[in-house]
Order: sequence, then structure tokens, then C-alpha cells
Amino acid sequence: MPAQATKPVEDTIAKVNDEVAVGSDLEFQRKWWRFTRLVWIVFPLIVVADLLGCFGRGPLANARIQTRDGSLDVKYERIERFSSPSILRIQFGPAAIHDGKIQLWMDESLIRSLGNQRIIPQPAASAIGKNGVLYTFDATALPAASAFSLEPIKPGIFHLRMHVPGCEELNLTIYVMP
Amino acid sequence: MAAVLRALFGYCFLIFMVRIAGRRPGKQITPFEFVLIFFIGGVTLTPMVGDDRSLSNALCIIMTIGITHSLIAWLKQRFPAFGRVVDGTPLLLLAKGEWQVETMRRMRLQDDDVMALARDQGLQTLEEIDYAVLERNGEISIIKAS
Repeated sequence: MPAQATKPVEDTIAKVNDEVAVGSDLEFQRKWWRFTRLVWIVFPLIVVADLLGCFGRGPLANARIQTRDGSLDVKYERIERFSSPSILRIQFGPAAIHDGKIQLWMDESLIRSLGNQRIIPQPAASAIGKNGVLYTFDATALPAASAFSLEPIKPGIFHLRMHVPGCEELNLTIYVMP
Repeated sequence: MAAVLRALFGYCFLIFMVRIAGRRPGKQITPFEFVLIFFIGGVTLTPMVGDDRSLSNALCIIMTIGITHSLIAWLKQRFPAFGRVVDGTPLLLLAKGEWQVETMRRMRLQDDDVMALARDQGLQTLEEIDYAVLERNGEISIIKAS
């Protein structure tokens, strides 16, 4: 069996007082301590931002948008989290009800990106087309509302358009955090 | 794909966090460190795995962590500066009867911590210590006065 290659021991470890090989590097360590001080400033800021909802699930993440004609009043989370549930609530105004029914068109990012799981109440009918879904709800009188249970399937910035046919359109921008 | 990237990020972030959290002296982990390790580990696990509970996902994540671990070990060997960032360097705490005040303060250590390790080696007073070094793994090495 061939012998293993060897090399002589060199004095490569920095010594203290020229007698003990410790290998400390105080200059590097001082830089590291400065860096950690910065980190301990940044980390609490991130935590506070999180509590405020900058990364979702907080007061800054909640949003509300209405159409000028009053057909739709939407409460949603403008900052969502990937694969985490949230609720998008829609309050319908008088302009949305026609012949005891409410029709609501929502574009396909509702399903493709924002991962719609459930609609409460269940729509009486739904029809696909025009890059979206047209939901029809039975509605007898105001107030009328529906809720969409979302669970985003990918991170990113998404636009969710919706309107009641013949009424003003809403365009929601939703940021989904990884 | 995403699970592998999440595992890669999670591993590197955990190394960073443990490095930032600092070294604590002692040969055994205290309950304080147990909480840190298990809690961070548990919290990291769920987003790494996601909703994919398949064996193939688990195997890919384990292999990713294994490859990353080996890669970091290789980088540490190849680039000593990288090794210093990942592991830190040994730090002198006491030399020839002089406490290294800045290091002790920054590493949040007290003379009690050094004396505890000295007693472990049969020393009775601090005067019997020539050098005390905080090693990269958090242990304190004591070199007796001759």
C-alpha cells in the first residue's frame, strides 16, 4: 500500500505573546462585532415592521376599496403570505342587485395565483369566460355580502380585477410575501 | 424546486442566526440554549417542508442540506476568510493575569465563566491561569501557569 503524502508542520497559527498558538484575529472580530451591532438594530426593526403588517397579517396589510357607484365594497389584505389563508370580503351595494340576483366577475388570478379555496355563500352558478369567472348569487335584499377564502399559491405581485356587469371595475393589487 | 430553495435558504439563515446569537461557554448546552435550538429548528421546519409531505420532498431537502453543508465545509477550507465568518476565531479572554476587557464585554462573559472552567481542570484560583481562550465551539480552554 503506498504511503500517505506528508508535509512538515509549519507555524501557521498566530501566537499570543509569542508563546501560545491561539489563532485569534481581533481585527476581524471587531469588524464582526460592528456587523452584529447593525444586525441587532435591523432585526427589531424587521419585527416591528412585521407587527405593523408590512409582511402581512397586521394593520398595514388590511385594505378597503370601493367603487364610486357603490356596487362593490371590498375588504382584503393587500399584503398576503404565500400558502397562508386569508379572507376577501365583498359587500354589494344596491347597484349590484338585479332581479334578485348579483353577478360578479372576477379575473382568473383569483384562482391561478391567489388560490381561491372557497366562496361563502356558494354562488348559485358560475361561468368561465373573458379570462375570469362570472359568479351569480341569489340575493333578496341588502345588506348582501360574500367572502372568498384565499390561499396564495405563489409569491409575487398580483392584480385582481372584479366588477358587477354594467358597473365600475375594481383593480386590487395584492403583494404575496414568500 | 421551491422546497429545495427554501431548504437552502433555511440552512444558511440558521447558520447566520446561530452565529449572530453568539457563543456561550460551557461543555454542555444549558436549558437556555436548548430552547433556542429546538424552537428555531421547529419554526424553520414547517416553511421548509410546506404542504408537500412526500418522501421525495423530504429526500430532496435532506440531500440539499447535506450538499450545502459539504459545500460550506469546502469553502471554509478553501477560503480561510470565509471560515472566519462562519465559525469565528478563538478569542483571548485572559493573558498573563490581564483580562481582555473588550472581548469579555462583547462576548457577554464574566470572570465566573472562566473560573467555572478552571475548576473543572482542578485549578483553585484565577492566578493559576496563564491563558484563557474562548474557542470557536464556545468552550473555554485554560492554559495553566507554569
